[in-house]
Amino acid sequence: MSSKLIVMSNGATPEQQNAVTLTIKAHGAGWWHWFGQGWLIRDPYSRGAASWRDAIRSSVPHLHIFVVQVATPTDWAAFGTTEHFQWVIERWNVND
Amino acid sequence: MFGRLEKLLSMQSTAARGTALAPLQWLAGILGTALVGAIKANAPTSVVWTLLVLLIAVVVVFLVVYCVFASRNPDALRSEKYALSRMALERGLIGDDRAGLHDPAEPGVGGSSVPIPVDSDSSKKVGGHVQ
Repeated sequence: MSSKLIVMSNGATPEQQNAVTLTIKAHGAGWWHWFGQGWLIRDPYSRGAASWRDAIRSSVPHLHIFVVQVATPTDWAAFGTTEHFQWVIERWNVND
Repeated sequence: MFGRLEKLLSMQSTAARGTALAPLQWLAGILGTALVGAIKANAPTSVVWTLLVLLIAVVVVFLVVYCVFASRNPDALRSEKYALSRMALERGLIGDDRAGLHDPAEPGVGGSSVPIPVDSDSSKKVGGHVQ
């Protein structure tokens, strides 16, 4: 079963944001990044928060980040356009 | 880097132009070639002198413009391709693995529809297998 994680950063520059996205993508996980300082990860390899923290730190060493693994099903609520949350609707609470 | 970023950069590079001084460089090149051609072809002295004066004038203007840009807008001395690439890299790309990465400045990326509350119950409405 895949793990689900939320990654938050503090003051990541656009270059650092791109590096974080690239790192998540390179590790073969599903990802959502419509907000500048936040990422959702759906990891088919079930890696935990520390593993992802280390992976991101290896790309962006000095960026302050917070990674939290969330239990499923996740109760979530958002306000925004449906285009931005289509991934969450279709892939976040869906079984493996 | 990202496929999306690469696409963005490649699209921009096709539209990229040289530096702000490129037209002057071309003019100097054309005048220089014409001057050499005129000398080799034994053109009238007046033509050679005219071309030489024009070439010197272009070189002087080039140097003046270069100094002005160097002090006021150094980025104008870099190629437009460089400036566009830097702009793309300076913007954090957004998206997801389903929709791909997008430049936030792209039309429609901000979301074409009106913002509405969305929640985890929406998964059931699209037929997702909710745990």
